[in-house]
Amino acid sequence: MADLGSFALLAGLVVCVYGVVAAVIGIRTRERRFVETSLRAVRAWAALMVLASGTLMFALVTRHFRLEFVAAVTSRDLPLVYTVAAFWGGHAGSLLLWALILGLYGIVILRGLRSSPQMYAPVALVLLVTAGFFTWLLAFTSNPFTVMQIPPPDGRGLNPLLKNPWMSIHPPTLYLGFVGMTVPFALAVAGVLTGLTAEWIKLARRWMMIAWIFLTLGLLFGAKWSYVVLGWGGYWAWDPVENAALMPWLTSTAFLHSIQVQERRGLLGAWNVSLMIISFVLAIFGTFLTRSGVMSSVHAFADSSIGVYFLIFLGLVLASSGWLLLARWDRFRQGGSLDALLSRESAFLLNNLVLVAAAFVIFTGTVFPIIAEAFTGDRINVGPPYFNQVMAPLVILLLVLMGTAPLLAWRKADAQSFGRAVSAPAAVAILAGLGFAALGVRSPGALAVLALGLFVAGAVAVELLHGVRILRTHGEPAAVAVGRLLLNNRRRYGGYVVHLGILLILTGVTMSSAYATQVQVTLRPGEQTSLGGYTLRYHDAQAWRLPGLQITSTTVSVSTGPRPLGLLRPQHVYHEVQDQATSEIALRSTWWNDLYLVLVGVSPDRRATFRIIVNPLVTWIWFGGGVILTGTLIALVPATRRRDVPEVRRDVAVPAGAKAQ
Amino acid sequence: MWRCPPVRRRNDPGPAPWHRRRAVPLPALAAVLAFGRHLTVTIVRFLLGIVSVLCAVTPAWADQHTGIRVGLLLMAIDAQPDHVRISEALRVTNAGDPRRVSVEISLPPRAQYVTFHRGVVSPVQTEHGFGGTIPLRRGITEVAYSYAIPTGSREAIVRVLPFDVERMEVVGRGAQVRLAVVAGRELTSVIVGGEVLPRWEIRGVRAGQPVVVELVGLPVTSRWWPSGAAGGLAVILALGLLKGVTSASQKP
Amino acid sequence: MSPARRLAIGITVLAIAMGIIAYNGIRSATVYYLTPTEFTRRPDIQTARVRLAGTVSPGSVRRANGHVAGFTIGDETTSIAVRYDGPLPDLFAEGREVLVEGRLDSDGVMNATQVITTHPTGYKEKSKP
Repeated sequence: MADLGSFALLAGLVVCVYGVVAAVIGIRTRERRFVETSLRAVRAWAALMVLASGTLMFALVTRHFRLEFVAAVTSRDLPLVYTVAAFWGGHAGSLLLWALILGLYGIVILRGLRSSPQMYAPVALVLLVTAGFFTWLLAFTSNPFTVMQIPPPDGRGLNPLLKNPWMSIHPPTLYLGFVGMTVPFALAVAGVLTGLTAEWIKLARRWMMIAWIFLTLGLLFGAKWSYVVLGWGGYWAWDPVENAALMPWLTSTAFLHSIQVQERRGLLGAWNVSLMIISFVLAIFGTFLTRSGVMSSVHAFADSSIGVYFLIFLGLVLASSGWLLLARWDRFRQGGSLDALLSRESAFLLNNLVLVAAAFVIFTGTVFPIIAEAFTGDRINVGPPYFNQVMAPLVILLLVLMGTAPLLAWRKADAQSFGRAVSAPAAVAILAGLGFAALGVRSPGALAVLALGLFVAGAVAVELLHGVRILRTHGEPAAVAVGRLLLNNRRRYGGYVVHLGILLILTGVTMSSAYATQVQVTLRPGEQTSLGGYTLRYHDAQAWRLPGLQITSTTVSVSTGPRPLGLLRPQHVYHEVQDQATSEIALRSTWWNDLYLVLVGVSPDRRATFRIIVNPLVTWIWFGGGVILTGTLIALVPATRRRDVPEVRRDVAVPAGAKAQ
Repeated sequence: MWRCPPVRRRNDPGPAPWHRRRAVPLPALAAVLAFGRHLTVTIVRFLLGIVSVLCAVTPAWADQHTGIRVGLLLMAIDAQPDHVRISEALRVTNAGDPRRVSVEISLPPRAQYVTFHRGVVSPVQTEHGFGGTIPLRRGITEVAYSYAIPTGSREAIVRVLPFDVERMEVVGRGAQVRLAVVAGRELTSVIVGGEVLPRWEIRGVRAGQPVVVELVGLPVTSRWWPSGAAGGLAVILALGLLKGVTSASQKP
Repeated sequence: MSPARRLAIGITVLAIAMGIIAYNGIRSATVYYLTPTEFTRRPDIQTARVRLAGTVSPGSVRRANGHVAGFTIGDETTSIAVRYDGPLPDLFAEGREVLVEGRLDSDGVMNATQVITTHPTGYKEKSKP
């Protein structure tokens, strides 16, 4: 069985090399045969990755401890669900997951390219080069099929931290996002070589959106896991691994906006291709940071040589795509130029700049320790205050843009009509700001986010109302008009729903950061304490054993005033096999706030020490994620008829008939 | 001539987390582990017959001072792909009162997954093997343990024991496995369930005397076929590509 | 002035502003990252906020009220006592690698504000008091 998997990997590498050569010849000679065989190579490689993955999964489920990987991540008592999740519970398996997802994406994109056969060869080339790199890593540096001479009687088991549904689903979702960036990158290379047609724009947008939504979900799942499992009361720590996933998210968000400018006006082509390339580079960089542990490595913390290979690959990708871009720079001199500062194009351009700047400052903060060490010899660490400080003004700017861009016309917006449109939401925002300040919200960051959030929501409402009004001039009832508006403009209104989701998340993040309260107390059984309006009474502590586990549990009853709210049971669990203790927090979530309870310790005389945290509005973050998913799904539904409701006119200087070529 | 070797202390604080298993009567235990139940019954009957004859005939080799002797050491070698699982079973006869003896037994280098089935109390890993205490009853005490050694297709296993053994028997199992004990003699093989189990014995092993067991024909998993097949695929694809390029260049 | 020129000026202003914020941010948020041995050899940063990387010395964990109140972090040659009051990350155990962030007190004991452990497959875990 191990042999079958090893064969699949080696054969996959052979097929990749073959496919790369065939694709290059196909590009040079333009002969169909070579292009077709390179496509077959992609499909064959994907099939081999499926074979390898199937073999590994089978070995995991049957506890084939002869394989070193299986012995390292599973044990006989591991439930089936986590045995499956153990596939990505180690380096080698997660690399294989990366390859498998790439194979599946490859098959689907090749089908989608049927209407643009001239893009086949470049896309196949990019896919096969990336595939070859990862297959080579798998076959020669982290082979999941290495065999031990003597199989152990039982495996080491999955780390207890990973035995959590959020952590089971977080890596595959995140990888669907990371790997997904390969397809837009392949399209970018194809576009530079064969031209940025309307069909190209459609494909690029669609595939970037798919990768983007998975990346969004992956980030949120990771944050949720961090919140409920790690037990420090937070969900985002500006950790290098977290930053690594956030950066491509920012650049792909920028792309999803600025591609609309290219669609309509043919501008920002160079920006878009660059954003696609950068997103892919950052996704590979993210995989590298997560897998090689280079950022957290210091002296005793081991880092593997796999990092060097990633860096070489990254360098080659950057160099070759940069060279390609510069060599064909004249292709992007199309369409025209920016007509006016007050226009939607310039708003999108500014949006690009802000998001790229955000990615850049995060990148700087993340890699600064390495650079500083090279120059000064001192190893340093850049902490959350830096990131919070630099992101705050950028987030404010983004919120302003989110609110004003929908109200700006294309080409050149008339200042007066813009002022009229923006006045209502702005007024609401200012009033709301004053209102919140009066209610006791004093932190300027929180006030700004709340007020601007309402501004953005107001702008969306203004847009919706105008659209409905136009439809109603044709004599339709309001409800039907709203429905038709949403149905016929899925992209635009799906996007507005996503914006609302972002608002919810930002509100939740701001308020929970600014107004979280916590306290640490030691209580005797029967004693109580209070925080944030909750009264907590500690009743008792119990200890018991389960197979392989020793559990210390405490019972705490919660009430607000006289009204009882239920029991919470924070625990400590000691895992015997792994010789490791985990802390199971107790969480009570409402829409208003979260009551977060951590058991710090229990003394022999039953006095228990608790850390109690009250986090406002955290549920809004997870709910906002669901809203984003909904909005994206709305936007992704393909347009069956090309009948867009006419754009809301704002005294545009150019006749409505002019469209992008 | 049983001698109590001094127990060497380890630097590490605690014992290695080794397994303990439930006891099964010796020497069937080692055989059961190596061979399965049916086979075991046959071997046990065969061996017990020999042992009892020997015990009656051979002069007592017990150390006059300690009153112990090891009548039989049965070494059962089960050949697995890339490794062998060796089960050793000792029959210790104690003529005197029940007492506890400290013992340190060395194992072949690279021995792993040592499992104690019977007879050794609080085993501790040492540099060359393990140490522990054997509580001896009046009469016969059984000691059994097993371990695994990674092997190639041929292997020479050297056993050095800290006590005298009247008779040491080595049984092997595995298709195409042949074994030989240096300075020993071959006994008639046992055939059970279609499998031929070679048997060798050596008598009068002194404490510290190395016994060399040579194994030939051990199963090894060959790792060449994945690379070979991939290489073959590479050749085929390269030829195909070459053909395609040359025929293309021939076009006007 | 063409819109493009105005945009370029605006962007430059933005970039300078960001640069200033970033510079200040880094200055205030950087923390030295050392082993205990290196830390004892650096008299210039004895009062700065540092992160120490080492292992939890076996037998050094001190408990009070049923939870850990302090321990000693060490490498091959040096150990430093740590005071910490709060929930520990799940992977914390004696003999394990750990990162401790905090400031050295006047009595030579490190007041830890954060304790971080590393997961064998690379995931990190942290806790703060």
